[in-house]
Amino acid sequence: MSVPALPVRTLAEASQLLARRELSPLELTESCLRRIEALEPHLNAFITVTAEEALAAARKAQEELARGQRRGPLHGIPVAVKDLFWTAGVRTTAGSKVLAGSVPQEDATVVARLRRAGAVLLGKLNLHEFAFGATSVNPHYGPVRNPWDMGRIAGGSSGGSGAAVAAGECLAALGTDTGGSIRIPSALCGITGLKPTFGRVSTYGVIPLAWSLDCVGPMCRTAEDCALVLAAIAGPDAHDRSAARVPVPDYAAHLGEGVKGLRIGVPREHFFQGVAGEVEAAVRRALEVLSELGAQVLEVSLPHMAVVPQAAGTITLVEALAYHLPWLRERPQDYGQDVRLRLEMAALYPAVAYVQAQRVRTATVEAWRDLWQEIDLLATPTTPVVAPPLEGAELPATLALIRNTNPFNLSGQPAISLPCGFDGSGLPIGLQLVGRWWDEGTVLRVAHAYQRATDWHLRWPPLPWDEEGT
Amino acid sequence: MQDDPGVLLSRLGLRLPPEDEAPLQAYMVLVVQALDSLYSVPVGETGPAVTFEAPAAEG
Repeated sequence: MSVPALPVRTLAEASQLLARRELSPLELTESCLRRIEALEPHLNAFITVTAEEALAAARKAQEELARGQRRGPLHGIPVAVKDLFWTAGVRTTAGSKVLAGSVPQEDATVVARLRRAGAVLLGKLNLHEFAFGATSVNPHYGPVRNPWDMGRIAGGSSGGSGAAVAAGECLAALGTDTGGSIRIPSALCGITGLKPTFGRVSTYGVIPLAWSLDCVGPMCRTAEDCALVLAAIAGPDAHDRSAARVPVPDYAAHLGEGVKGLRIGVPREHFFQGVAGEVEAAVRRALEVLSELGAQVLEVSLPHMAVVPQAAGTITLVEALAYHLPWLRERPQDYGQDVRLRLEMAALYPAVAYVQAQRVRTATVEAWRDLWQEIDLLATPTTPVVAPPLEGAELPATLALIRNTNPFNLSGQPAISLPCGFDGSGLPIGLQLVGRWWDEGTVLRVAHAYQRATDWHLRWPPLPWDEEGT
Repeated sequence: MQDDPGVLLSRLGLRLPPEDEAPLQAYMVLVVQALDSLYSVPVGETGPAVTFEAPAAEG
């Protein structure tokens, strides 16, 4: 079955065409649905496709746009969300057998905000079971396959989000990130994904992995697209006490301000250790590009890095067990073995380990605040390696993939992954840019400047079913 | 530290499936390493960060 090409490459481009009525929401939604129908037997990015509801929402958007009632840049844009977000009347499985029949009565706050912005929801995306792993090899709903090589993982836990955006099944997706679950699949699938500052986006109606680390964020083709989605979903929420009362800037308005004079730190320790040669080379080349654009690149040291991943891992394990304990007691057989083992492992941790991990977290944030007087951004490889094969050791793969991302869940800082090259096998490589707390604007602005100077983010995976290069 | 993961799990009301025994036994080493690692950092008198929002003024 051949796949019709998408009429656009990015959300921003689609938004402009929709606003000028040179493209209709129905046409765009039907195009995505045709791609979903043709590609899903191979990719397995979706758990649930809500085609009828999507077509109805697209018709409604079309009528509103025809009347001149444009709600904003997401009006009429086809999107999908990780199957961890409540959707009223549509099952929300968390990729688990435990919640296979669960149908929420209401939307997660971010889903409601997307609908209010006029976005068209195409369905629910596959993931690592309960978001507790970085491979998205799901024992209940099948593995998500990487569009760049179907024999490889898409990364996780928001693997369906990464694969669906990369393959052009939707123009944007929402993911969650507790240890790297937005940035890892973004890197491995060759797209752009932003983990905002902890508390920037409400997590109400999002099935938790670890309350004190969980973040919700956009996964799109470009930083500009991420800026448009973030603006729609960010901000305080009466339902979520962790959603901070911090003003949400107009991210898109400042995207074009360039990088001149910004100081980008490159860590000496940890982040380049054990990194594949081609990954390191691509990231170093990206830093040269940013330097040519006017940024100042300097080496820096991050205190406590020897223990930061361990502290993040301890907090994740123990908080996850606290949430899952009732189900794990009653129906352990309904969990996949890898996730069940992780939860059982958490039960081996003494209480003092959790408290000590939180002390390390506080000490780390305090120590890192000084560093951020000297730099505006930090740059690292997102993952040490490109997408590993589907068949492989689950826990070692996850531990390797999260080593460069989970430090910034511990610190709570905003971090983006964007494509910065390909290895010799044609697999995407991700660059991670980390910003100051609440400063998603600078992160997006630098990522946008890099994407204006390069075209890695516009490369399309060589899907054998595509009629033509989209 | 307790050597038998099954005993530790039972304190939380969990039953250890037979197929998980061997991998979990292997994990015990990682738990000890994690604890040692967490105590290798000089955190001084630092406590976990806990903050409460002040109630909004009324009227």
